[in-house]
Amino acid sequence: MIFRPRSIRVRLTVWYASVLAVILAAFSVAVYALVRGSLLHEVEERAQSSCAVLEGLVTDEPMDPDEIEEHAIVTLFALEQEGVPTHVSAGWTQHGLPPPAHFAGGLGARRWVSQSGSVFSIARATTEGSHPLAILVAIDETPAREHLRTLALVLLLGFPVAIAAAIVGGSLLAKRALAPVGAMAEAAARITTDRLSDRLPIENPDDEFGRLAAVFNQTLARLQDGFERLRRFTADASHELRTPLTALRSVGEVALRSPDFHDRCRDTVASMLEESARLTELVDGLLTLTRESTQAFRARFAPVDLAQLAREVAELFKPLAEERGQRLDTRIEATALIRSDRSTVRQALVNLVDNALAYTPRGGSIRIQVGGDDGEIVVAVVDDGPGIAAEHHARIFERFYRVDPARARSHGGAGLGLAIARWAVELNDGRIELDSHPGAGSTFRIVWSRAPGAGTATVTHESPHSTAGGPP
Amino acid sequence: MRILVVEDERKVGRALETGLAAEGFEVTLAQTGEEGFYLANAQTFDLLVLDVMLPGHDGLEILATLRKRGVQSPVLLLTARDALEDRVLGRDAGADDYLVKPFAFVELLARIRALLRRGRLDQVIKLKLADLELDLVLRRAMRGGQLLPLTVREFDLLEYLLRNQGHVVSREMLARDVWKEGDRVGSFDNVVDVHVGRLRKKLDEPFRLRLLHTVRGLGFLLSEQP
Repeated sequence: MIFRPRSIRVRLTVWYASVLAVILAAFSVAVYALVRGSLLHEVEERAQSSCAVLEGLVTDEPMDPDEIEEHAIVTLFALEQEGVPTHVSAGWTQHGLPPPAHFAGGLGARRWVSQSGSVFSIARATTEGSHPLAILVAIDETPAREHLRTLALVLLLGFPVAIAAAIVGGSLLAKRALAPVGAMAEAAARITTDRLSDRLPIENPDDEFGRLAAVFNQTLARLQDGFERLRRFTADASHELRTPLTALRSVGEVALRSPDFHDRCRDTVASMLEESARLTELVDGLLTLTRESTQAFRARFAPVDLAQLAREVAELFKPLAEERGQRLDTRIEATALIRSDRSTVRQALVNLVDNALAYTPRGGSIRIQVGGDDGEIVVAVVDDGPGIAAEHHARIFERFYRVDPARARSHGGAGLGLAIARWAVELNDGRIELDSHPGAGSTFRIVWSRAPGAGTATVTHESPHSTAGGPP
Repeated sequence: MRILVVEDERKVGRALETGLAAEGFEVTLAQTGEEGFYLANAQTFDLLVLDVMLPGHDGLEILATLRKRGVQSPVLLLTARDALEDRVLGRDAGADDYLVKPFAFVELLARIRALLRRGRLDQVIKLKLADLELDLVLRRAMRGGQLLPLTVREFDLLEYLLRNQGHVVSREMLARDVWKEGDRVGSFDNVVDVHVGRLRKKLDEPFRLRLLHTVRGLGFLLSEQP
């Protein structure tokens, strides 16, 4: 399996540390090899130069080997003539170096490891003449090797320290370099269709992140432009529709009032007026949805008593429910105050209840519930109607979306009720949810999270009680 | 009563002219702002119905100028919905009331009557129609000597119908004035219908003379004659 950390920061750090580790390892090996080569070569050269010095001492102006030893010109040496050692220095013997015959044959440097583990570099020279004298000089390599060991130790110990430093440094660097990405992601997450005017901050327009943010901002601008044009079009179209609607209505209504108007025509005109009323409702709904919202409404935000609002809406629709043989009641589990625009919250609730009344059959029941806990405040409209299949849930809040076109038409609604409900809830910083299964009724919920931004909200729990209503 | 209607939409203007004339008003129709301004200056009207034309605020400018010149007649503005600005500007310019397009003709009539009545607001304590009597102080409805068992809402509804007796009231008027519902939803008309139906049951069913009538396409009418 390939190691694929999810964070770019971790990935960058791993790469950085790995590359550094390879470079450092290669560098360490190279340094060690170079130093080792040069140190040992130096020892060999010393052995050879000592050998040459000794050769001079014993041939040109012969000097007694004991004297040489005494003056410590060369301490480890052995002389041999025709296979017989003529002189072996005290140090040579002391270090347990083998007799010169051991190194017979060949010239140049050799190595010998003593029993104690010391390594000696051996140089051998032979004098000229009829009775050549073999000269052997040994130089202890121990000091050089100790230097090498120290170097290796430094390199080995330094390696993990350097890698650790690389990880920390790399991670910090990556964090610093990636900080704009985090800021951009946060800013982008805050941008919703309601706040398309927000833009990503650009710290440096010339670096890669700056360019990315600029491109993203351009996309946002186009998106905002598209949304704005759609909104304007809907608003303009709705406004333009008002003029013919006004004429249609005025002409029809005035005609209906005329006493000499034929009775058969009266029905026709009345029916046309009913349709024009539907059209007016549709145009009103569309205009509501295009209302440039947030700022103007936020100005009117004030604490709204949701329990009282629920009772009020229930009271409003109770006669209608009774007439249709439905039961409409409220269940107040908590009294909740939420800072919001009362008229739009009420509109959302009214639309949900209206929807529930329309789709719940005779004998069914609809309940408005107000509840909440530490995290959320919930106003729910629960019905025991036919329920809504899951495939419709995602789209049910879209304008003009109908679960069953044939049925909806007979209900006569404009198909905007739930869209307006969602618009109104989102305007008040809440969210709207649907929980429904075919045959198991539907629950529409308006939910406010008690996040710091959601405004001041207080919930007081009451002993659950219901106010019953419905057919006597 | 002379009414000047300034409305650039020809069909709307003609319909208002016909409808208002049928109600016994003497109507002058102006189809442009200039014409309206000229007429309002030259003649005296008891009331002006002024369309706030969408391009620009011609209607408002005309109104402000007329007020500056000392024209005192009450002015009813016809405005596009949601143009909150229009309402505020309209009030500043000297309008007495406004109506949102598309409006119900019966509501226009009601507003016009209300504006013409202004100044002599009669503080009635009893409203009457045939053998129906509403005591506004005791909040008691009697018909033919019997007490009608009305709910609070039904009483308010009956009071509103009685105040507009002989005139058709639209469902919109009831929703706004009796229920105080500004933004209506589809089924709110049904809510109104349910209450009217219940009121009718209590008000008319036990008696021979029907007082509460449904006028299809327009609304409801409380009257001795349908």
